[in-house]
Amino acid sequence: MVLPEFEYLVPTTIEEASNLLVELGSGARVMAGGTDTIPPMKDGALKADYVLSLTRIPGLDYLEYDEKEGLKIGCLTKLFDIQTSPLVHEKNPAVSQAAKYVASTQVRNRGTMVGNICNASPSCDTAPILIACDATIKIHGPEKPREVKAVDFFKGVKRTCLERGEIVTGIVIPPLAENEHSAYIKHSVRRALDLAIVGVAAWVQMDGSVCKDCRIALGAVATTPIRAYEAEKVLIGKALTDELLNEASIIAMRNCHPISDVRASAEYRRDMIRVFVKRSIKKALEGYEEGSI
Amino acid sequence: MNRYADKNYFRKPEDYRLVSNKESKYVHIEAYEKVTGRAKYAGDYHAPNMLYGKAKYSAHAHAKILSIDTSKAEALPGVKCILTGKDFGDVRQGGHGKGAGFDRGVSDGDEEVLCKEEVCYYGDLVAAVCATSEAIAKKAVDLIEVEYEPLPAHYNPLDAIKDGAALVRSDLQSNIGNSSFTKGTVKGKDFDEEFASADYVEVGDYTAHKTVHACIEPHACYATYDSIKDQYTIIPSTTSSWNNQYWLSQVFEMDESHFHVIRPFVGGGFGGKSNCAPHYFCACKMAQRTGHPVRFVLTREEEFFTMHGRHPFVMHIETAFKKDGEILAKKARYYLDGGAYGKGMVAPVKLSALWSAFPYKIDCIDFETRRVYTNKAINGAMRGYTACQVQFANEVAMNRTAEALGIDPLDLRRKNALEPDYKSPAGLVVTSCAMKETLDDAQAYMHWPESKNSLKPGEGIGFSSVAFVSGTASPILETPQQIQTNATVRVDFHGVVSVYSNLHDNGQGADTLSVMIVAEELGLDMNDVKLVQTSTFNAGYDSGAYGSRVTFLGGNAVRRAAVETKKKLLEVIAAKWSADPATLDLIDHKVVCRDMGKEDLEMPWREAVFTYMAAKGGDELIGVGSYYHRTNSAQYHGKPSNYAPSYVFSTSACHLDVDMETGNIDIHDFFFAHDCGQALNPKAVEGQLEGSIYSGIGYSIFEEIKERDGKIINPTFRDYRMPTALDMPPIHTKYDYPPDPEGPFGAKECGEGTAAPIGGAVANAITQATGLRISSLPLDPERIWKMLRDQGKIKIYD
Amino acid sequence: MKRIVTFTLNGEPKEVITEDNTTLLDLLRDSLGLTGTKKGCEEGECGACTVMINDRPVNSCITLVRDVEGCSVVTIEGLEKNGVLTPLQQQFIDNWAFQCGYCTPGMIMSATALLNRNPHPTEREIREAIEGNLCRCTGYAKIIDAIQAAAAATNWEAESK
Repeated sequence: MVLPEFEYLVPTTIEEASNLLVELGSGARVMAGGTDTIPPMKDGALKADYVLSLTRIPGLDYLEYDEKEGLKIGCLTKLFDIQTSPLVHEKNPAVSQAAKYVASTQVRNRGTMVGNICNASPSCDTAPILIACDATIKIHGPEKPREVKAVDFFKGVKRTCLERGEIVTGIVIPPLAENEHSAYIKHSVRRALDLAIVGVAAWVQMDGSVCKDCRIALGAVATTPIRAYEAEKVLIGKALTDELLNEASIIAMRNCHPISDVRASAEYRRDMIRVFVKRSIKKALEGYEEGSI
Repeated sequence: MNRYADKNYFRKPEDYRLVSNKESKYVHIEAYEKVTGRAKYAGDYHAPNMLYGKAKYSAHAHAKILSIDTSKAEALPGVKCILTGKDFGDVRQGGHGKGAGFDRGVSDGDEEVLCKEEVCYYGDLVAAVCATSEAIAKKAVDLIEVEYEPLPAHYNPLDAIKDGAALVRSDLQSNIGNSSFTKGTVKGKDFDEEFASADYVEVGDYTAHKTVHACIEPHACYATYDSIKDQYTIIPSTTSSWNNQYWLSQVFEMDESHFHVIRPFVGGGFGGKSNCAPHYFCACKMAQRTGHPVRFVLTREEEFFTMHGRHPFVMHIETAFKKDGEILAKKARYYLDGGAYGKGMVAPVKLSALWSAFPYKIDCIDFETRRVYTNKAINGAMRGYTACQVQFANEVAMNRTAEALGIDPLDLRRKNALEPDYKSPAGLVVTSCAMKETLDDAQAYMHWPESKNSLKPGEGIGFSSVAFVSGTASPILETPQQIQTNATVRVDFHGVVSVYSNLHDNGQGADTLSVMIVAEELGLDMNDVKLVQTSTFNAGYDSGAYGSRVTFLGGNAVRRAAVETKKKLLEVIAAKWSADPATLDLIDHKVVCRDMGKEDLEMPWREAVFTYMAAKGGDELIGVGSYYHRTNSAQYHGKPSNYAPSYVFSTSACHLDVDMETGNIDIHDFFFAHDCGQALNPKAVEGQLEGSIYSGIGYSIFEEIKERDGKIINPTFRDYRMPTALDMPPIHTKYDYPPDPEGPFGAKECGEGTAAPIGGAVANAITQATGLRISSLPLDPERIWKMLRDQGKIKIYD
Repeated sequence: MKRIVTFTLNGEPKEVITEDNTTLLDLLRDSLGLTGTKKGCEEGECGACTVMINDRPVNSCITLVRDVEGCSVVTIEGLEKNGVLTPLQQQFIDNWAFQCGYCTPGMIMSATALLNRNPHPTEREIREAIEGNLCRCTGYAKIIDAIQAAAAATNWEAESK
């Protein structure tokens, strides 16, 4: 296969990168690990005259935890490191799980979580958990930095809220309190090297057996990952019985309108949303056993 | 030396040192190359002045070519040669050679290398380019302008056979080719009477889908041309060098002496590399035109849409049973979706008819098979050729019958199972047969039927049995005595042994087998025997790696070459010792004597060979061997004939869970009992069985070619889902069954037919788990979910 | 545009001239003659081209040469030292953990990276480490056996240093 010609640029500061993007316009593509850039360029789905690699910018490969802010993930932090980090396992195992669902070990050893979300594929594995956990996306812009909520980051198939010259520098995932739990489940035919038929992430805040608050995010059922707001409403303020979970799952299913494609039909995806909404909430409540990811 | 070679000189089972040796004396001769990256495959050949080839493909499923304009591509710097249909003559290629199947002397080639006037599927080639880089070649291909007039196209074989249906190709008389139709009856008894007297008739309609070989190595070739000798040398990724040589000579209209086909390492075959790809002809022509080496390496996408796959099937089967479970008669109707061309169209119709009789004693069979052309990618040989489809249906039908008659599914199979020395009315002659033992072993492994009572909802155990040929009958070319393989063993005066055998190694270990057989017969270590990298010019004919023929037919030929070598040597030494040559043997690098009173005589191997040559005036010690199984097409015209020299029998058992909400299948254990006679090398046999199970599980659950209007819409490893290491269950195999009287050291087929019983076992386990009535493959989660929904097993919310 | 890239290849310093759009796989195979690294899909979906970059297993078909500037790259050709195979390579031989051999170099690289990081992996961890390496021949069973056997070899940790 032939990779089309392009110019490869290696800015060494984020400002330089941002300025280059402004200057070069729509023909430029930002790349971290390249695992979502090189394949589509090879098969002609993505065209770029310039590829800007962020890999030479220092300080963007970090994975930290702050009691107040939570998990902080840099834009050069590799999915494999997130998957295997004891810190992430301890603080929010569902994030490790989501990272691990992406493609294969080799891809995760180059690809980054930030790259995964910037690619903005509807079936993106790491988006639902970031939305469910109400993560913040940190953006460097030509004028000033800004932050958006994960749920507002995605604007369409392969489209994000990034404006010309803007670069995502990191992700911040708020800490989980004792009574807060999260989970992500991907439904696919294969256990690796596959794309999600559906992916469902859940975050719940409990008061005893009663759900005080919750967020449910769905992947692969719309042009962007989406929140299941109506289903969340059903759960909030009530004890999470099987009946109630079923009810919420059906609402989530009714409110989503997936498409049929080569991987699954719309009707199957809809019913799988029903199945995995309840399973993901149960999984969140049940938690991840040590060593299970 | 023919198949009736002097068996007195064959190594006796009690003296086997390498056969079935579990202490790793049996070494893989290509192991070092393969674990260090030194093994060279076709696409690894490279030269500084090499040119890169690329093909341009049809833009339609069916269209008339109005014009091809290559002028822009020609003007591109770096482009060295552009070929279109007019650069080739009128001979069409494809499929087997003229010895194919049973209608001897008839070439069945129906593909143009490059289409001249008409394209019949998206994978048809219309032009080819070679250039100084892959990028330039690709650019040039894009610059070639082809004007088409679209023609009506067929995507469904059942539409293509309707009266008045437009033709898939204008050169056809009908959408069912002459030899792609077969119809016949095998009558031990009166067919109608048997059906009329039946207590139960099992009637079912089944379908099976398309999959592809997906060898990790794509098709590739490296070609050079010597203008002084007028000779083409080609290193193709192939499992049949002689097929390549034959078709090159046909298409170029030059005799075989102009085509030197060298066999490189081949990265998987599974039936996908037995033909000569159109690209290989282009590479040769380009090498001749430019004077440069030319290499083609297909991309994964090309591999999907221009190479053949496994036939989708539509099947109707009726089987008449007595209430005690005895099969009385069977009626089978098969429609095969062939795609646009033949690719060995004789084989799939004959074979699918043959499987109707397997693995049970059925005296009355009425079959009809049609392979129908459609404007889609071609289908042809693939591991478990047509058996994966037919045996899935047969084995589901067996379970349905067992249920209806209230008989245990294993007992029903046992009642009808083929037995040693059984001769069917169709002329099939069973030799060794451990069919019942494989059923017993599967039953014991799964603790059946006791285990049935402890199954949870959604949990199931399923069984499936098949039989397969051990060595397909016909060589690809018209050969003397229908010879399948010629092998030569040569020993120099130092005692170094070279084996010239061309068993096509595509990973199954054929080269290692050759060396092992020679070492075993000559009493040497494997390292003492050198395999010459073989080609069509330096080693004897071998039909190729297809039809489960390598071990049985090829192995027997190599063994005969070794035994002739042994016999010649022993006769000379015996004369020196005044002993009976039949009492001499080669053990542990020595000639030994077992003649009464002469047991002390022995001579080191090296000295023996030197002595032999001295006695023969300096001539080298050489042995030749060949092997054939003669058969004909009689059974397809109502007369008996025996397709293969022997047959193999397997039972597989699958234990799984079905997720009743998602349709996901989780196989927790897979057992496979296979009667391959004497296992020559336990590790290799296990590897073949494990690989077959992989292939069968991929076929049954994970893999599916999806097409829209004749175009494959999932031509990537992302969407064509081959199982990963995480998707494979634990596997347990059993293969210790009695040796076959005719197989080399008692060995029979392993690794092809063994892919066939997987679909039935998976389907029957799912039925056991869920109560679902299953009639089609694949059984991916969404399809299971749809069946659960449509058969009212789960509630659906809207 | 042609650029000079310097990196370490199988322990030796290397300086190459490359185009921006050249992949590491094409460089290795076509320019450096290291054809042990295989081409299977060229899109990061089969693992036949797996090499180690700074000890991580990655798909060289979707890695740019420009991206390995300053890195350490190890290919299948870099494992054998002075004619001695690594314990893992030896176990691949002893367990017949290959058939056609085309996926084998990538498989060995993924498994080598695993054992370097985790000398005593569980079976599950082994399967995960090779999840991105498709094998069409073996059903993975013997490959897993070989990796387990190599992990059990006591000298593995010393060998890998």
